[in-house]
Amino acid sequence: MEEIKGDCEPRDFLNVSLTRDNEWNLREKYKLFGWTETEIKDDSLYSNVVHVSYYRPHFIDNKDDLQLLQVRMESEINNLSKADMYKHLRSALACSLVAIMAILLVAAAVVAPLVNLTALHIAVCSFCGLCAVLCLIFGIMWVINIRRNENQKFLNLRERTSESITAICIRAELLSGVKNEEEIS
Amino acid sequence: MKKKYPERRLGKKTIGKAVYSDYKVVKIKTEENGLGIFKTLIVMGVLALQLAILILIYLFLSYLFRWYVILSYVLSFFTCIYVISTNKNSLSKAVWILFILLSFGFGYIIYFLSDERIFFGRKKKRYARIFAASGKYADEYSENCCNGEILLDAQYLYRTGGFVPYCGTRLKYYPSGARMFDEVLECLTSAQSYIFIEMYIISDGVLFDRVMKVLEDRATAGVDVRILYDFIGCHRTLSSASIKRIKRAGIKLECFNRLTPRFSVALNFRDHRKIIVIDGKVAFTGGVNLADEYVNEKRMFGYWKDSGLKLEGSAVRAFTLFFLRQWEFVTGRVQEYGRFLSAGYEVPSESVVIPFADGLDYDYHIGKNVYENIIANASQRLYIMTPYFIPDDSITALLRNKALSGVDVTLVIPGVPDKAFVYSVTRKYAEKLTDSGVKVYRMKDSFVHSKVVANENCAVVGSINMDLRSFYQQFECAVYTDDKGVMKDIQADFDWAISYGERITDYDRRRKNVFQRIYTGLLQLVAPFM
Repeated sequence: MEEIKGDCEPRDFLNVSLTRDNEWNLREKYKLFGWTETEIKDDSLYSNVVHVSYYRPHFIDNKDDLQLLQVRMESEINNLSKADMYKHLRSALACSLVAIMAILLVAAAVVAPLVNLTALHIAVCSFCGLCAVLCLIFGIMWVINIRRNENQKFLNLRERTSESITAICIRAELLSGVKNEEEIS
Repeated sequence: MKKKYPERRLGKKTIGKAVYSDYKVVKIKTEENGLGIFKTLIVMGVLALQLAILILIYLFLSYLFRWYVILSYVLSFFTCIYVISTNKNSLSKAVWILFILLSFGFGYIIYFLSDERIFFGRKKKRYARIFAASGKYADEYSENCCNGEILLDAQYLYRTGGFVPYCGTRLKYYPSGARMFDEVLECLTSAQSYIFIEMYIISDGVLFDRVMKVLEDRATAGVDVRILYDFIGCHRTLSSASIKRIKRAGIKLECFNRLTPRFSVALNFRDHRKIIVIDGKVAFTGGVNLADEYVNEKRMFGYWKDSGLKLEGSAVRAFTLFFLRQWEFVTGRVQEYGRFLSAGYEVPSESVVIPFADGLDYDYHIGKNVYENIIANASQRLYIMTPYFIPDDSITALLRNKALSGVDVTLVIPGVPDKAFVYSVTRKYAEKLTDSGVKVYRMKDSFVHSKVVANENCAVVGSINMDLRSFYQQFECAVYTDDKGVMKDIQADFDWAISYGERITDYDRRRKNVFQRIYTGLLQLVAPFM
């Protein structure tokens, strides 16, 4: 809380770093919590980051609720973004595992006859070659299945997050009395 | 207008501006935590060095004198017997015995280095002298305003610590630190005589600047301003520039239990009290320290949920006395108690207010026992809000039995941890109670720092966490009251916290895998020190 010269009303200030092209239109969403934008600056290092400054009166109604809802909203968005970053982790690990197994089997199939050309070694070579093919076929099917599940899970999470953020914004609107400009337009 | 960004060049190749690729879409600019880690590392390094020297001396003696090994084994055995006979809680005893037996060569030495009767004995005698000398300024005990339901608690508090019930005091409960400090600032500006502040944490920042402007103004006007802070609490938050600023303003500043690079477990005893006294007429206490995160000016662990209490009236004398005794202990100079405790100031009120303190200056674990009494006396409902839930066996058993008897027991803990390992143990203890019917809520995206325990008749609001550290090692303070207005506000606060909370069920406890169980089981070994 600081007093601006010529203005007796004490104010709170907020400085936020946002990614430029975020899908949530966060710059406008902060206004629902009673914040008024004062400045927007580009980051000196990253092209997709902006720094936005806001202020609002120190004494406002329902401040605790608005603060908690704001934290909630930020947390939901960051959690979704984190989930987006790591959504294909399991399929990537599965793919790596399948690839390593296939490579090892192919290597075994190639090396076995080079060691000795007996019936046993040829059998081992054939067996390893067959296993490598089966590993690749079933491995790819497995990875595709995991990937499909991951996409579905992420879609469900995105939907839940979107509903949650909408609910938070509606509640913030009611508490702060500020109208959502997106809905108006 | 299309923006052009400065381009980076690597030889003849042009690279565009870097792209931020961390997952965070939004970042609040105050999310950095703490400073001064370098100083902490140096002191910890020196302490670790002393411990290493102790171990090396043992190994050297064992190598030279074989009988020393036998002797240390015998001494360890008898030390274990001694530990069993002490008054420590059962978890502490078990951990100490395990430690002594596993490190039988030097474990018993470390145990005795940590015994407060040896290394805090002189300080306890000093406290006893201070209490004896200032005893005549303590108020007389009177049961006139206590009714049957709280009479026993009032008698307990008087007999264990000399804390008296006050009838002429008005209370106001704050469900957030920001609201409390708005009123603190208002009251500080109207101070005429003295301002006493005792805090565990004082931190540079927006709130500190606001408070300092008022304190500087009041100190210039001749008000006696004193600040007492805890060294460990403030060593990474209060810069030397701020200390100089405080002293330059003519404010008296003292530090409790300064950290020295000398191995001593007495360093573990901290002043966790939060007291603000203004002119002997108004006092504030609760869980709120003088730092930005407590008023949500700084984002550290999500939304910071806290509680505070304002006292106006005769009960403020008790806090004045607590502060002056601690000030005398720290400075070594006898204080003019009469100057600050001469006049009484009463405000019409129907409620009973009993401010009390706890710590190594008292012979009993008052905070823990008051909590136990409140839990034991609950017949309809019991509310507990605490940042750390590491109780000992007696409190766990009481909570379980109350829930099984049909009492509505609700426990609210944080949803965001400040210390991951402490939080793991807190979750473990909280989840263990869910099978008895205790309702446990985590407040989502929030760090709950409130310390509130209430049943249908009375409540305690203060600085006492429900963990072993607050019960056995720290200096604490709180207010016990049956004020109906405060009880109603506490109920509303719990309803609010629960509406933003997520209930932990027995399913959450059962679905933990074996590695998580081993991890939390190992952390329990150090729970007495958390």
